[in-house]
Amino acid sequence: MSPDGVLVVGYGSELRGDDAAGPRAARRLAEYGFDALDVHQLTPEIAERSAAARVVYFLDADTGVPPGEVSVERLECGQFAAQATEHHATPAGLLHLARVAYGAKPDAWLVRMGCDQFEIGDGLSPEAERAVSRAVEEVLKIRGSVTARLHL
Amino acid sequence: MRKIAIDPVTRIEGHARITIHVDEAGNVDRTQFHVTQVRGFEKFTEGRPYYEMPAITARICGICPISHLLASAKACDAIMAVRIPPTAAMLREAIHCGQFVQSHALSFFHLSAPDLLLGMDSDPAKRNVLGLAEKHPEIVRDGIALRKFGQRVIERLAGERIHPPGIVPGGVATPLDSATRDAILKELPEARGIAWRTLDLFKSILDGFRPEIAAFGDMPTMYAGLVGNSGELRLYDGRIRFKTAVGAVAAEIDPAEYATYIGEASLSDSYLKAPYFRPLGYPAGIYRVGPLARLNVADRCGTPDADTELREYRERFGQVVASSFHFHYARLIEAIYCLERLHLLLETPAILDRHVRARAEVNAAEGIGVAEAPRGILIHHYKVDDHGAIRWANLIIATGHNNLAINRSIEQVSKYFVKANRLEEGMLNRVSAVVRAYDPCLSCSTHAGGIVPMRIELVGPGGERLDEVSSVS
Repeated sequence: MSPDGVLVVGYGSELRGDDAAGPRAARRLAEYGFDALDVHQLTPEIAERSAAARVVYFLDADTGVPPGEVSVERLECGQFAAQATEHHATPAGLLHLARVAYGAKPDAWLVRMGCDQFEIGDGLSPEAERAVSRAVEEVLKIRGSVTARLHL
Repeated sequence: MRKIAIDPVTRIEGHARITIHVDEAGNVDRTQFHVTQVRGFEKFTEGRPYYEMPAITARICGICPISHLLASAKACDAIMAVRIPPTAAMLREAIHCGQFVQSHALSFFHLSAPDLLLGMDSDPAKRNVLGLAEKHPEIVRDGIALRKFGQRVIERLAGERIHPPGIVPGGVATPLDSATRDAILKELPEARGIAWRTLDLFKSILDGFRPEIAAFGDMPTMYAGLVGNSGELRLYDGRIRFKTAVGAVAAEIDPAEYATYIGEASLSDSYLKAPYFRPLGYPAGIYRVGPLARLNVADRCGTPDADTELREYRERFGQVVASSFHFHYARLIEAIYCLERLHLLLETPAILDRHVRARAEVNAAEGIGVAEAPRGILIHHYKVDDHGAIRWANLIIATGHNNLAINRSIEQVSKYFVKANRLEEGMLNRVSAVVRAYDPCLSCSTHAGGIVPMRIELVGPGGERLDEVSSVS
């Protein structure tokens, strides 16, 4: 865990085009000193890492956001996420698990990057590249405000 | 005749559907397990260089890629006609132990513990790892920690947690350094503590599952698994031993002879083939593989703690344990065995030897590699041309061996628990749970991807669908 207790989790398949936006953004943020995980999918083990963090950013490609755009939302961990039952999980499910299994309640944000090209392949579309850049900017911006609020 | 369908089956790896046919009185007549996905690795690897096969076929699975890497690398060793350095074999086995630990932890804690610890009839909305965490947070923490330990062993010894580059034709890519060895050894006691606690917990709740033990595939079949020279449990290498339902050795063969003893039947309503013991024919040659079968075919585990547990297991359930419910029990004994083997391997000074890879060109036109995957025997068989390009490939995956047994287990549990036209959720869950006991990896077995949901369908005498329960909307 990085000294400021911030964890970045970028997830998605690196072999399905824009779905790699999450891992790409995580690696980009690692260059700024973030403790960053670039993973294929969310798994329960990440709850343990999240529980040890003060702040967690989840980054994911999303068709519900206009291509190239970014949506940032604060995540609450109070909700039971029944869908998180298999070999993968959701950010809300992981936060729930972090709370009930480890008694931790980190601040958490979900950064959704607008993407629409998910064919087999390992390259990002120009829109996804733009979304990744914006996501990095957004996380840096949030980190600044959170750092100030938490007096990190 | 009416029909019930479970589609998709949940908390398994891959995509499956179950059909249950019931008569007019509401009694189960017959059942069918359908695997509804197909991959095709055997076909699209044709033309690829043989040495790419470990990396390609590892992508069949994200849960047990190490088994594919090992079976594939062993097939490549045979094509190169090399005997790999002893240290390489030790490191491969150590990595394999890490994989068994993480895979068995996933199966028990994440997939089956919700049934076992919250109850087969508990609220399905909370019968999952999150619901388990609310009631038993310490158990979920143990599960996560044990799985993480296994994954870190793989990462440290082979380079990455999921599809590591460290297992290669001819051995392993890099030797082990003492600092890495010591780091694993330092974490081993905690992992062993978790494995012990979990087995003790499981033994303490076992009496609450007598109906399930009696109905979850408690049937006579043959069993198959790898054994060593003195009949001990082996996971990385050994001979394939087939035992009868009463425990007599039916055959013990060099893995390269598999095709003489294992036939594969194609089924009209599933992408998953049905292997059978060829001397008995199809379907009389039904056999089971995986933890239950391995403990049935082996004379002993070969490590002290696991052997102590094996003795207690056999005192309780007999020399040949027939109920598939006991896959869970056997799986937990194997977790202890793997941690003991890992300790033994890491404590052997030769594991730090720098010679870990044999190099050669193509020296044989054909190679067969066999290892135990967490779910059972895994076979990779390749034929290559003079340049080493794959001409033909055959993969027989652990879950495939259990196809006939899973089908029969579903029928048995359905006949026991399904008594009416209207489905009860607990009944649906028990039918799914018997599949989960095998810990099938359907993505591996037919070579298709995805997470595994399940569906149960009720169909009437005229073929009309009367009811349907699905795990996903």
